[in-house]
Amino acid sequence: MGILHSVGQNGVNATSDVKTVQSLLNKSRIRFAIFSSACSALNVDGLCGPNTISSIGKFQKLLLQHHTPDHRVDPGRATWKKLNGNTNNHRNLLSTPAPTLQFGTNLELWFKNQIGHHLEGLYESFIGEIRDFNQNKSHHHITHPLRQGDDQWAKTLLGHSKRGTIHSYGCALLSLTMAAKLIGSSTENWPENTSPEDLDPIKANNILKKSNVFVANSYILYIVGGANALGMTGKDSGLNKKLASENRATIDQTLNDGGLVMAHVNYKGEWQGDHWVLLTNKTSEGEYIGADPAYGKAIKLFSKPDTGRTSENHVLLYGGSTSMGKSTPKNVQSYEVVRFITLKASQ
Amino acid sequence: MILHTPKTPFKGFLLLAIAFSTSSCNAEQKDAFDPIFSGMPSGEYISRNCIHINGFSIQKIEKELESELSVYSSEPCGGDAIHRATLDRDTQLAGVWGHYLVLDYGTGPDSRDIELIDLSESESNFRSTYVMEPEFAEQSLSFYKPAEEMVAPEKCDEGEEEAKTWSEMGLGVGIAQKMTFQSGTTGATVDSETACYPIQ
Repeated sequence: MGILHSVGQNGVNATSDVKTVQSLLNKSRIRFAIFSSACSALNVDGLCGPNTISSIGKFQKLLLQHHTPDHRVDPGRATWKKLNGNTNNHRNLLSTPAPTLQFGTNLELWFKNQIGHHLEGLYESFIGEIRDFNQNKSHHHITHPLRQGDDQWAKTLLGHSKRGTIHSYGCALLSLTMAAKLIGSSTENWPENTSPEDLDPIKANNILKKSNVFVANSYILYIVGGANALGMTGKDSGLNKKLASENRATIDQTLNDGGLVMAHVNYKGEWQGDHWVLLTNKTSEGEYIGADPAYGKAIKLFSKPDTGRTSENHVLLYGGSTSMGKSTPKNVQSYEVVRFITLKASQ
Repeated sequence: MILHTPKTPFKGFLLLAIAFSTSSCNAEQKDAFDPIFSGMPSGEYISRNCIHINGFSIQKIEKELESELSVYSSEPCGGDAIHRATLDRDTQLAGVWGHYLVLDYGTGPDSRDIELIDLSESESNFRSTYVMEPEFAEQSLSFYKPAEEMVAPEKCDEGEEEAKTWSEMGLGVGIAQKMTFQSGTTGATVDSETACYPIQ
């Protein structure tokens, strides 16, 4: 039995897939004593709740030695293979079986035999990881999307404005911040000893203020300038011009090359955009994954609208009824990408 | 302050404690609610989820993907609500203006909406797209409604130099029409004035 879609944190969490993963996690408690002592058995109910997500994280930490587990099982990836019992997975360096030595064995002979065997296994695993990386350079995944309304920064004044806050106006700032944490790098206006993973919207706001990319006395941000200040290059497509669906190829190429895309979505009815989200990946199923700063949630966009909705030539991607899982807000279902900014790591 | 003889020190201490605690209650500060736009009255938080503004009390309860808003006119955040609404994550309570509940829709500078909900009738509501900051006066609201086009900075009359600055930064330049809404009506009238604004 396999899974069709991702299961876990920010996963698609289709009922049958969740049941499959829950069953395999329970079986893993029998196979791996270290996992059994760390986790209780799960109720195989097809609902991906906190217990299931926590079990996936513990599985990744204990059995795959992930230092920062993403708490998610993706079809065909390492966590799935380990769960499914592919113990001879040559792609996984850490699953190479350990050598065993019996009492009385000629140690030198044993050692030579083991080294030859395991070095070959380690080599194959390493080459496999490189091949995987080259085929899918973008492994970007935002485990904790930022939310504009978060109390930590919601009331912080954005840019040089005297009234406008990050909560009210900061969708572009948060999208840039999330992007910079993944592919950004420090520039002259960064505080000393600040690395990209240390960034939060307040720090990013201060960097952008120092970099003079906000309009005077305002929260209006020159986004490409902001990208530069956060150690990325940016290219804007669609400012006040209607794009065509062919422009989606640029989004695909950027994501395939390991870049990110800020997508300007319209949901209020005019053809120009209202809100910025960040896209990080295109899946093998053709879905565009990212993070939405209005909700602080993962989001999925599609190249075609849901059945019953008209497609428009100037719209590159669409929100849908499953963009944020079962309870996708109506605004998100109405999302239409009408402009985008590609982001790449500065060389 | 009452002086007590050493024969009744406990009673003296108790009275002092009551005096201090009473004065502390009178001096207790409630957190202020600042409206989003200038020209609107401030309010105060009666409790964590209850705000008192201009004779109305407003309860806002946060949920995972939305918030529930209830407005009351009699007891603070209690009794029968005169208005209820479910607000998406892009919607904020801007404040209360006269007998209107004011909501602000948007996550960035572009294409924001302002909505005035008439709490006296719940009928004569008003909603419009706007750019820049609306101006609230006692009986009127002025705002700029954007046209769906970019313009060259030279079209910006007195704002041409500023518009050129925006353009040089890499921003777009838009043009917007001034509108005025009068309290008690249902629509806004078009003024002759226009203004340019930067497009993010």
